[in-house]
Amino acid sequence: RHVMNELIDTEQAYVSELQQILKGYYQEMDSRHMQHLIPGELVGKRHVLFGNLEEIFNFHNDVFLQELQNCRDMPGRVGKCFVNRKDEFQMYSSYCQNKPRSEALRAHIGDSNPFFKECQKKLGHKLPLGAYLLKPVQRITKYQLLLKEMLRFSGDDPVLENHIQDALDTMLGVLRYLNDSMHQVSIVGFNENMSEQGRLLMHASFSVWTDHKKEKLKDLRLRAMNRHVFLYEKSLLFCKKREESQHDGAVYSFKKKLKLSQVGLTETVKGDKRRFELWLRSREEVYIIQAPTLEVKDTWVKEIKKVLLNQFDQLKGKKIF
Amino acid sequence: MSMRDVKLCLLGDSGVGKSSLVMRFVTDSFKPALESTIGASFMTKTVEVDGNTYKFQIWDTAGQEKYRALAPMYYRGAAAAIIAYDVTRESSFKSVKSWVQELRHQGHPNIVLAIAGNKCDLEDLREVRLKDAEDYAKQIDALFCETSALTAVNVADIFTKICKKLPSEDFSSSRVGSTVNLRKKRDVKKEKKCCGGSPS
Repeated sequence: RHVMNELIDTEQAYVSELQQILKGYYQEMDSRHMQHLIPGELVGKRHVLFGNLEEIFNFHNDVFLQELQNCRDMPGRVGKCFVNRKDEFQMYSSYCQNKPRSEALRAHIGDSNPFFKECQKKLGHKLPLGAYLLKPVQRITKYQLLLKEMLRFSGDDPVLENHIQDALDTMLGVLRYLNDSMHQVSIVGFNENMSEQGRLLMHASFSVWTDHKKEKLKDLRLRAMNRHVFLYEKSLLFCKKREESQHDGAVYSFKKKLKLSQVGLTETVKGDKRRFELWLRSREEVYIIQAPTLEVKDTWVKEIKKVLLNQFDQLKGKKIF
Repeated sequence: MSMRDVKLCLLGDSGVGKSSLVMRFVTDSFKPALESTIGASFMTKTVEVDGNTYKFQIWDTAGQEKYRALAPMYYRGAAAAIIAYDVTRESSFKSVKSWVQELRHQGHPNIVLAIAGNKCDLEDLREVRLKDAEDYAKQIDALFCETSALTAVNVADIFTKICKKLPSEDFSSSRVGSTVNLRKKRDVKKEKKCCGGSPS
């Protein structure tokens, strides 16, 4: 089965490329002959440059490659390889979350500094380190393509098909998690566990007014605040956008969390069509949220309603749709 | 003669033929059902334009189309991007617009954008009018070509046009404190139309 072979061959190539990078750059940072070439800004920043690349390499080299090779002649077992290692693949999210820092560092010291140049020459690489540091991101997104391809060729064997479908679902889940975690990386000051908030559904910027019945003086705000709102399956986070100069991603500081199991929604609010309200404890605390456009408001109201309805159905113990 | 590295990334919906375009450009071949899903994770190709040598590093983004938060890792630091769509699929053209917005927002300010309407050999299945795409490209100051990785129409062209439109200095290696040469960029703007109508 050629897809199976491609999976294993490319896995082998991937492992060997990671090894080259670790030997040819990572370990060279310890080499005495190279010390004079290492740019000052890089000293002590190896973990920023490489993230957890070593951990990824060890997993693929010691575990995953072997497991795949063991089922070269038994494609029926390959699906299990992915499903069983679901948790290990989460290590890619640390790698991706660190990537912007690593890129900023590389941009700072430049790709053509003598240390990188010398390492690249020794390795005989045509491409600079930056290209190789992207490999893990490329690799993790490729498994699903290979699995889809396998699925196309397994039509006549329902057992095999099931196994591969499971593997595909696993890897798509890994990617979804990875993708979501890239948004989360930029929220600072939120001390709870992100994964407990559920999946990130949408996020956008709004003008927000708050009204607090009990602590009127303290929390009553007449002026609107600009807030970037993240809607998760379980909660809603109000954050303040902070521009970050280091790299081009924006950073958000966490301000307030609303548990969706406790909020009420009022779809129309007088004053402006683009507004809607969220409130807690029979309107003791009210958040008036104004979207930039009516379209944005409508999508948000629809999505929040869907989440609330879902909760309601789960409480009742049955699903309507 | 100068030699410069050009990091380029290919974006666009899955199935529009990104990998095929790269294959055609780099090895001048076409594989009907790309038997390899992955291929190389990046390819290089050197071309000569107006006496200058350009070494393209092309980053394969296949597989990450739906995971938009991962995309910046590919296009950050890229000097050029080709955003491909499939002329027989209107929805893929819509995605072009969202990519353009994102790149204008998040990409390098001098990034050269090129839009490629691929599969232009499939004239009778066409859903996206040449004129519409052309007008859109003009409006956002992007290069534009309809291409066919199958018949090779315009594939090399689009890369040549990119070379010509690159700002004169190599900004990828002089990012810190570089002067942004705006004049050059304006001067080179559209020179000629690239492909008119169907080739077949």
